[in-house]
Amino acid sequence: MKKVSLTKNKRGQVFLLLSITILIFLIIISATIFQITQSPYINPAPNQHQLYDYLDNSLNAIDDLSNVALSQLSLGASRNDVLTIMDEGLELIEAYLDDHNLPSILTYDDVNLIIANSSTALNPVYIHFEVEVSIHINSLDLYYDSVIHFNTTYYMETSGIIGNLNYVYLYKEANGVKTMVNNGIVAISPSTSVTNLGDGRYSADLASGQLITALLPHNIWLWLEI
Amino acid sequence: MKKLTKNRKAQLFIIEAFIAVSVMIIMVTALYEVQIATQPPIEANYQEEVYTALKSLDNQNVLDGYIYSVLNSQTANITYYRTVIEQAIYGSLPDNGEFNLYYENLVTSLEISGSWMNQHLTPSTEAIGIDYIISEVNGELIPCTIHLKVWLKGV
Repeated sequence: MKKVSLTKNKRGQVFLLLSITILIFLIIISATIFQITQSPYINPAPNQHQLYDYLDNSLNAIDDLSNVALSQLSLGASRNDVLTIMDEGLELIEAYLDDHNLPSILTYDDVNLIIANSSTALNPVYIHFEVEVSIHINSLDLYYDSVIHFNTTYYMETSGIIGNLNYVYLYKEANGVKTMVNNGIVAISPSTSVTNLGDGRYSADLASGQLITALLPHNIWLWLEI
Repeated sequence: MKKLTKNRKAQLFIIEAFIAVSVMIIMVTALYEVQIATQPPIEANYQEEVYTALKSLDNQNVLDGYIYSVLNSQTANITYYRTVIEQAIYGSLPDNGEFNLYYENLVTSLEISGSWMNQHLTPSTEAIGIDYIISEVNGELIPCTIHLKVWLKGV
């Protein structure tokens, strides 16, 4: 049989090149298929639902920080106190996510944190809290990157005279959605009888010089002087 | 230049290339089929129902109301909230479902004494653990984790 040196065998060289190219293509295709099958969309981790639950739960907990801020604000806390609540609260929620294999970074910009507690003589009175929280989670099984706007305001408003009685309305606006608060407690000084009508209306005989106090869920207080 | 019909080596090379491509396609298809066929079977999952129940209790201020009552030793309220929590969690479990839970203060990392529910029950080895965080208790920053275990009796 005739011996041929590889350096002189052009066909052999082309074949070798082709083999190497095909091998590289095969490796690339296999790696791509492997990556696709490992994607959390195609092959979710066994506890994928639970991870989403932890994320959802954390969003609820951040929303609850709004209620802490509103409550403390209504009890006389300063802006600095509210910032401390946000710092401590977000740090603890971040630690909770980290402990559940969801390495996370939760931040907010205090420039975008707005608080307001209206005067007690201008109808309606309100208490307002607004903040943007940036949430970044980067784990093998869940990637989440988002800025969420929390915007909550509680109102107390009195009606004009309707029939023999007046109404005090309690309502909440969260991210533009208005809901009536039917489990508040309304008290009037000097002592006046108040009836909770169960739909966010509280009927009472209102008169000038009275002070209306409303206790809302999460220990949030509002005052209105008539 | 030789015509392709007369060049045997070129013909063989093309046939080999076709065979190689066909083998590759068959292998990739086989891999895909095997992967589909070996997916773990879908098991009945009551974890989601339990989570939904917890979230609903949280939105109704029951979870923080309960721990507020425990921290302030309000016996009547503790009984009331325990009943509400039990109804919600048992309602989200199959008939043979059981659970126990306790609260942990996230700041001190200590169990909140008196927060246990169904402490006397021993979870089965198949019990599922669910954690739920609440950050606010009656308008104050008191972050707690609820450690809940759910399982099915006789499984």
